[in-house]
Amino acid sequence: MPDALEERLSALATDLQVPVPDGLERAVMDRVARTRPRRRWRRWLAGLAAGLVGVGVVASPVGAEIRGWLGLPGVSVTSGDPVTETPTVPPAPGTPDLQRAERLAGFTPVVPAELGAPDGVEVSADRLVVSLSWTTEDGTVRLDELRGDVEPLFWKTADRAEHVLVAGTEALWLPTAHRVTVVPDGGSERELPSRLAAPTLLWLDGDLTLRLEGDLDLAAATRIAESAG
Amino acid sequence: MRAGDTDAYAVLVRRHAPVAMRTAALLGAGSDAEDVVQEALVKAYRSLGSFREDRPFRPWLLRIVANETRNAHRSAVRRAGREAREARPPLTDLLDPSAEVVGREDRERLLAAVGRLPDKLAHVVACRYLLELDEATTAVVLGVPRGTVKSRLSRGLARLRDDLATTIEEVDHA
Repeated sequence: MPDALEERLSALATDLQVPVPDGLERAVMDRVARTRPRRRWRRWLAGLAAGLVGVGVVASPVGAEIRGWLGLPGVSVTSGDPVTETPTVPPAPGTPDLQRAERLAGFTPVVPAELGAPDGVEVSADRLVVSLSWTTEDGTVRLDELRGDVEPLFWKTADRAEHVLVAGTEALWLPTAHRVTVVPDGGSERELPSRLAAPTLLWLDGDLTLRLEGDLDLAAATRIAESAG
Repeated sequence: MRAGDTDAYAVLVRRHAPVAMRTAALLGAGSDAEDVVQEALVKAYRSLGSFREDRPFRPWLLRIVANETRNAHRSAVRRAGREAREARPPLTDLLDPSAEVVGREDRERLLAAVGRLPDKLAHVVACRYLLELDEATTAVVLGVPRGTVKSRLSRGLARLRDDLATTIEEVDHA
């Protein structure tokens, strides 16, 4: 039940006036007309018109309106069909030089004690994502780290996702293989093809969004994540 | 670019511009609100290519607006130091002047108190009550986990209660 203060705040909403300036739409459309067209957006718009009906399999009560955004900063997860192929986790190809990664990306990469020093360290060309990788008995384990900001960098389409807790904070577990696309900021300098991702745990550490991927179960992934603090 | 595409986008712009303007203004864009919204709408268009069909537009757009507001604020602060921040118009300027006079003082006091909250708390309160977004959407727009929205909201409301109680007391003693 909303209390008196909440009711007063809600009542305020109707008294606020923020007019749309004349010419805003025209200014936007003029600029848009000079922008080159982008792939796939007609399809997206058609879907929007169809009423935002998702597959409805993402395990969260937040409703259809928000389903496409079940994620953490920098990551968007949307519902999609299950995939049956076996994913390959790409190792981070660079030399394991964490200081260099820190200098380039402007943040200190988190290294989970459970995994120890990484075999590979890579900073994306736009310096937004630091990736670490380890060769383990279970194959390659990969940890992507980014400061979640303007727009999602990872678009994920998963048939299942569940909210879990890692070290007491909200996290998201994608237990099955799923599509992942790395998306550049607005421009489009860097655009990687979608690939199939292995089970993934997403969580936050301060202002970093962490994305752990590998042939892991939730217990193992959580153990690794909790050793990162 | 086919004409049909931009026409469709113009419809989206028309539909969402009012809430985008409110968001920019309430999150502190002040006189930059129009620039912020224009920039956000153009950015949104450029990013449409990375969408899939069931992506909802509004929370995503408002998140871009929120980030643009923050960027505009940051560069203004860099440009002019404290002055830029202080030059921002108070939230009470957003009150509809034609709204009924009765209770106006109360509303101004409440809005001024929201304006005195630290930004992080003020933004959550603005999203939840003044923009009437639910918690999940607020989390998306501000780019923070849902738990953070909950905790900031309760801290924001507690501070508002304290602040308003103090203000009323001062008025009583005056």
